[in-house]
Amino acid sequence: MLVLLIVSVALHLVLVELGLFVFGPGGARTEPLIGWSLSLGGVPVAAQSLAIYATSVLVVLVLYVLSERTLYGKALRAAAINATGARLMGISAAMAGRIAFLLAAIIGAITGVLVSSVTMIYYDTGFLLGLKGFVAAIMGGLVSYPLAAVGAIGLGVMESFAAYFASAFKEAIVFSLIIPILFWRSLATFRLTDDEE
Amino acid sequence: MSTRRFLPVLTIAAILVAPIVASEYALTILTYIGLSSIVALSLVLLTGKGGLSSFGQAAYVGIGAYISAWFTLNTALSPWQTLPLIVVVVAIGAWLGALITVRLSGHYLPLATIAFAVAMYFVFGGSDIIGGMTGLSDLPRLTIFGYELHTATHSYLLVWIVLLAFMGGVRNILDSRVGRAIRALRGGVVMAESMGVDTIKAKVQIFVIACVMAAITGWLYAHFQRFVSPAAFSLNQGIEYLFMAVIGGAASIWGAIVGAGLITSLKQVLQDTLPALIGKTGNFETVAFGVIVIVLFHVAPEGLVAAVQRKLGWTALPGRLRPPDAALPTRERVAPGAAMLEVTGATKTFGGVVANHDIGLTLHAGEILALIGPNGAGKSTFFNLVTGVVPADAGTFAFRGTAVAQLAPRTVAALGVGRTFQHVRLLPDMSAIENVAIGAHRRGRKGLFAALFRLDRDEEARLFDEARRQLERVGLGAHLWTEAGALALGQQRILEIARALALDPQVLLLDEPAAGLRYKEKQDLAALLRELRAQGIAILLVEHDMDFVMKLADRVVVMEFGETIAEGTPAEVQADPRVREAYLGGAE
Repeated sequence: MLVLLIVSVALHLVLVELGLFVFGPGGARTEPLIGWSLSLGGVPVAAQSLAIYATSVLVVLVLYVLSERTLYGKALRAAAINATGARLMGISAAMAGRIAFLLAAIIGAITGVLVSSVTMIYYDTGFLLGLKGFVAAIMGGLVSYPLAAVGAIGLGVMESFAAYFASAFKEAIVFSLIIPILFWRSLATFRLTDDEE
Repeated sequence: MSTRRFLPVLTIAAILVAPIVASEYALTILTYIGLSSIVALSLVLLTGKGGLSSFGQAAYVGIGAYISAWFTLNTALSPWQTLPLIVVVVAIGAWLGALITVRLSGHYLPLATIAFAVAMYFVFGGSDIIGGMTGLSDLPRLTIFGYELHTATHSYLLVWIVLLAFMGGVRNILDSRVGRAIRALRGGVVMAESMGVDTIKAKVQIFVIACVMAAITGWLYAHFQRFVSPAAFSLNQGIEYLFMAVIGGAASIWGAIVGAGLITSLKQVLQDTLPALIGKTGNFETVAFGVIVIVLFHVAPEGLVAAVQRKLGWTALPGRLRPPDAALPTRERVAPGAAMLEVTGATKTFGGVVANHDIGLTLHAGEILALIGPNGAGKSTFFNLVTGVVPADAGTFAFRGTAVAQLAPRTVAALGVGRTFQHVRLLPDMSAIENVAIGAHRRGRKGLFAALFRLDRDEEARLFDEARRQLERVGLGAHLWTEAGALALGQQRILEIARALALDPQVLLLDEPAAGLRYKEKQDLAALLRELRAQGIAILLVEHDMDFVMKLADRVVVMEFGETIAEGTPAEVQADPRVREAYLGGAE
C-alpha cells in the first residue's frame, strides 16, 4: 500500500513538471462557460457559480447511482471493502482500481473546466485544490459523497474568513483544520483492526 | 562470511577517511547526503520498521532549523543552547500530534502528514518574524570548545558522526524488547496486542523519535548552510525523504544512506547533464527523476539493499546468545482442577447473524478442553471474544475466579493467557527466536532508554534464553536463527505455540494447531500438549482433526450455529445423537 502511495506521488511530480513544460509558468484564466449573472436578494451571483453547484450535485448523484445501482459500482465497492474476497468472486481488483482512477480523473478534469473562469489557474493549482478536496473528504469520513460536499462548503467558508482576517496564514489555517477533525475521528472510530496487507 | 561481518566496519572507516581524499565540492555534497541520511534513517524506523508513513519529516526539519535560527539571531543563545530547546519543543509537539494521528489506520496518516507539511510550509512562508518567503540568513556557525567549525571537512565530519551515532542508536533500539514491539507493528495490531504489546505506545514512541531526529537534522542544516528559507522544508522535500528511505530499503538502517546517496547524486547528475543533453533548459530533471523513481519501485519494491542482499544470496546471520545470569521469573503453578477461565452467556451478533448465542464453558487447570463444530459454528468468534479481539454483546468472563468485564487483548495476555492464530501471524523476515521473544514481551521491563544505551543486555540474555528454551521444547531448536517466513507451514504453527509458551501462560488457547501438520508432527504436538497439561496449564483447543481431538481431549464442547449442542467426555460426545446429526446429517 505504501509503495502504491509513493509511486502515485512520484507520478504526480512527473505530471506537474510536464504541466510546467506544456503550459509554462504563467497563469491562465478562461472566459466563463455561461456569461450572465443574476441577482439573488441584492447579491450578484455569477451563473457560472450556480453551474458549479449544479454540477457538484449532479456528480454526487451520478456517483451514487453508479456505486449503488450498477454492477460495476458494486464491484468497485466490494473490491474496496475486501480485495481478496472480491477477487474470489471474479472481480478484478486491478480493473476496479482503474475505474476508480478514471472516474476520479474525469471529475478532476470537470472541476478544472469549471474553476478556470473563477480563479487564476497555474500548472500546479490542481495540487492545492486536490488537497483541500481531501481535507473536505476526511470531514465526510471518506465514505459519503454528500458529507464530503458539505465538508467542502464548510472548508470554503473557513477559507474565506481566514483570507479576510489572516490572509498570510489562509492556507496554513485550512490545512491545520484537519487536525481537530482527525482528533474527533480518532475518538469516534478507533477499533482494534488490522489493515489489509 | 567474514567480509560480511566486517562490511559495516569498512564502511565506517571509509566515511572517516573520505575528507583526506575527497574534494571540497564532493565533501559538501557528502554533507548534504549525510543530513538527508539522518532524516531517511528516521523514516526507516517509522515506516520501514513501524509501518507508519510520513510525508511530513521535512516540516520537522524546518521546525528545528527555524527555532535555532530565530533564537541565535535574536537572543544571546548559542546553537548548542538552542539544541535542548528544539528537542523538548519538538518532542512535546510530536507527542501531541502522535496521540491524535497514530490511531488512524490506512491512508489517513500519510495524507494527514501531507496536510501538515503544506500547512507548515505556509506558516514558515507567511510569518514575517522569521523572514517570510526570504527566510533568515547570517546564522552563526557551530563551535566546539570555542573553535569555529568553518571548513567543509568540519561540517562533513560533524554531520556524519551524528549520523553514525543515530545509526547506532536506532540499531540498539531495534535490537531490544522495545524494538521487537515496534517491529511487531508490521505483523498487525491484533497479533502484537495479543502478545501483550501496547501498540499505541510503540507507535507514539517511534513517531516522537523520528520527529526529534528530523528536528536535530534541521539544527545541523541551519548552522551548516547558515541560511534558512521555506523552500528547503516544503512538502516536495518531505516526499523526497520518503523516496530515499523506501528506495534504499526501509527495512535496513544502511538503506537510509544508500537511498539518500542515490537520490541526492541522481538529482545532481540529472541537473548537470540533462540540459546539455536535451539542448534547452526546463525542469526535465524532475520528470526524469520521477520516472526513474517509478522504475526503481518496479525493479526493487522492497528497496535496493534488500534486492542486492537477495541477489547475493545473503540470509540473516545467526546472532550470538549470551548465557543468562538468571532465569526469567515464572508464574506460580496452579493445582490441577482449579477453574482458570469461566465464561457465561457469551453472545455476539454480526448484523443479523448470531455468531455466538449464550455460550458458557469452564476451563480447568491441567485439562485439555476441545471446542469442535462444523465450519461456521462460531468457534473462532468465541475465541476472539475470550481473547478480547472482538467486543462481546453480552457475557461475563472470569479469570481464576475474579469476574472481569471483557478485557483488551493486551490485558488478557498480561493475565497469563497465551494464544495462537488460525491463520499464522508471524513476522516472516524476523528470526524464529526473535518471534518467540515477542511472546515474552510482558516478562521483561526494560524500556527505550535502557535499550538506547544498551543497559538491557542482562534482561535480553534472559529473554533470548527463554525463547531458545521454548523453541527447543517444541522441536525447533535447529531453527533458532532461521527467518520465520522460511519455515514450512507446519513449523510456523509450532513456532506460534512456542511464542505463546514464552508468555509463561497459565491458559493456552490454540486455534487449529494441527492444521497443515504431518502425522509425525501431530504426534509430537500431542505429546507436547500432554506435557503442558501435566504441568497444570489449562488448554482450550479448537481443532478439526477428530482423531487428534478425541485421543487428546479430556472434555469436548460441540458448537453448531453459534450454540453449544453438547458437552462431555470424548466418548459421551461421540455417542450424542445431536452431534452425529450436526456432523453426518440427520438419519431420516
